[in-house]
Amino acid sequence: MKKNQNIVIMDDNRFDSILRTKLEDYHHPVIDHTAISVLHQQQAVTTESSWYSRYRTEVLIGAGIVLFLLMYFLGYTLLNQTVRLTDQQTKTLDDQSAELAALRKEVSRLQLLTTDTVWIIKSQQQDEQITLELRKRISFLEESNRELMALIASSRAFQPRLAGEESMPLTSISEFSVSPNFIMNDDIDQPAIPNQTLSSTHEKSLSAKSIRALEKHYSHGVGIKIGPTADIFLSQYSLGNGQLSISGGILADFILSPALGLETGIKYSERFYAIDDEIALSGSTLPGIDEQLGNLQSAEVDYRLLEIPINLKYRHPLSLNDHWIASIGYSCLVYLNEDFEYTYEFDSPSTNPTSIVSTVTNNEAKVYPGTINLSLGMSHVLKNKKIIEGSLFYNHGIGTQGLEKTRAQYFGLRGTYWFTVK
Amino acid sequence: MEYYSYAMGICLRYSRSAEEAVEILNDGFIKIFSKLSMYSKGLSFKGWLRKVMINSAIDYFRRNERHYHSLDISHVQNESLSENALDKLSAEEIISCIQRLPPSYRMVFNLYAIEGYHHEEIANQLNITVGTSKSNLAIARNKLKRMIMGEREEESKHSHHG
Repeated sequence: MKKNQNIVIMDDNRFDSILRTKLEDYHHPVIDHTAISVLHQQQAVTTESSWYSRYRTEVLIGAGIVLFLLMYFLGYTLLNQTVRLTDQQTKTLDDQSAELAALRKEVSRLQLLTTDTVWIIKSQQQDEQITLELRKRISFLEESNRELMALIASSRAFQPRLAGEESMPLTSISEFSVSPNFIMNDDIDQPAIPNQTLSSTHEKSLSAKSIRALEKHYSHGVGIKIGPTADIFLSQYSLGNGQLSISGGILADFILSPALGLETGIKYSERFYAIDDEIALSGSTLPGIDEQLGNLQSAEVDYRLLEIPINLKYRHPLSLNDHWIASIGYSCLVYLNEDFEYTYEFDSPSTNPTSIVSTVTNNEAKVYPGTINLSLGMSHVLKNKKIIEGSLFYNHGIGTQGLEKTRAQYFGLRGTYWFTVK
Repeated sequence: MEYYSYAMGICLRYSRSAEEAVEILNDGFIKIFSKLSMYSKGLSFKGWLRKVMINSAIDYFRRNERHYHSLDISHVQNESLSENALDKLSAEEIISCIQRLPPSYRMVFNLYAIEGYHHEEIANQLNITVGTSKSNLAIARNKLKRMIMGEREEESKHSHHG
């Protein structure tokens, strides 16, 4: 405490102490009866609150677990059905191939038989009849085998889990392979071209239409792929200049048909930009600006947010392993936190003009309308049967976002590594 | 009614208006009624009531005040105020000045200067840094001193004209 003529100047502790003494035991003299009746009403509502509102968190967790188990069971059942179907097809292929080999042997045997002179006419007629029947059966079996092989090959491309130990090894498929020319009747007495497989060059030579037909033929129900995703993108805001940002998350792709899929998931990102323009600063609704601190010079805005996209994807086959992908959709944006850093020019009478920095944080999560999404890219099935997907994307903000009400656009590159669930 | 007016006195300090104070007060009383079993009979009921009302004010702040302010105040000058000026002010006038503070400054000032919390406790309760708590307190004090000086000047002008 300092004495200045007759006035006593206080230090901070004394100031606090005087206020504490005056306020510590303060009783407000006015009783607001309306406020008391509101309190009674609130009490009544609290007492009557439903069991659901009291156990809301527990109920939500329980519902989530039940939903997860249900989806898991559904996925497991569908996967088992697919595996069973492929096993059945493989067994049929086995049986038909054995029959085919036996028939070829029989045809060869018949052609090597020496005919008896007495029965020459009758025998020739019989042999021709038998050979014709055998050739018909061989043609049918070869055609059937080729279809089965194509189905099994496509199942391996689109159902990687089937390539496990339980299913037939790849090499065994080649044993049943045939040349398209082999079914010609004239060549039936020639030895079969051995081990001609549905090679990769053969796969590549398939037209988009044929691949789509194979995919369509094989598709059973809704397929599911899940995988991690990462984006790198440039942001553009109506109030200022954005910077390069990244986001990461997990996506699920529900394959509704060979051509269409529905992609959804959740991604986390941090985005930031700066506002330097005076007009933008004065025209914005930046929160917590304190003009008593001086003239606002610039503002930096940082967001932490979750993005929940839902995109409709169109897949166009280039080969069994490669597809063009185009998508259109919508993303909902949940802003978890916003940081604003303001730089003021503080004009103190005792010192030169200097900068003063103020920060304002908004920790209240808020959902914004989000963005319309467009993307174009490619996917490729890797040797380990996982799928890698890359695309260019453009997201256009709907309405304004953030407390400062800015409009935003994002342009960038996305990569996703897909695991097939079913 | 004694407890009601005491609780209202606390809530007024933590709010910008009587309406806001009533909201905090009602929240506090709901908590008291629903958790009365947690009150230990040996302790002062008034102390417990005070604690509940302060917590209710902190909850209200967290729920409704979106912006936590923090400032680098190394350049801000300290205001000086005479003790005589403060002595003449009534509790109502001081509360009125406190109510005019921005919410984050008001909250830190109340918790530190009136309730005697430490900066670490305040930082923990309001989810801010200790530095922010200290700077908010310093600004709150400065603003309050300026307001009180303003009040005194107004009063002396009126008395001269009178």
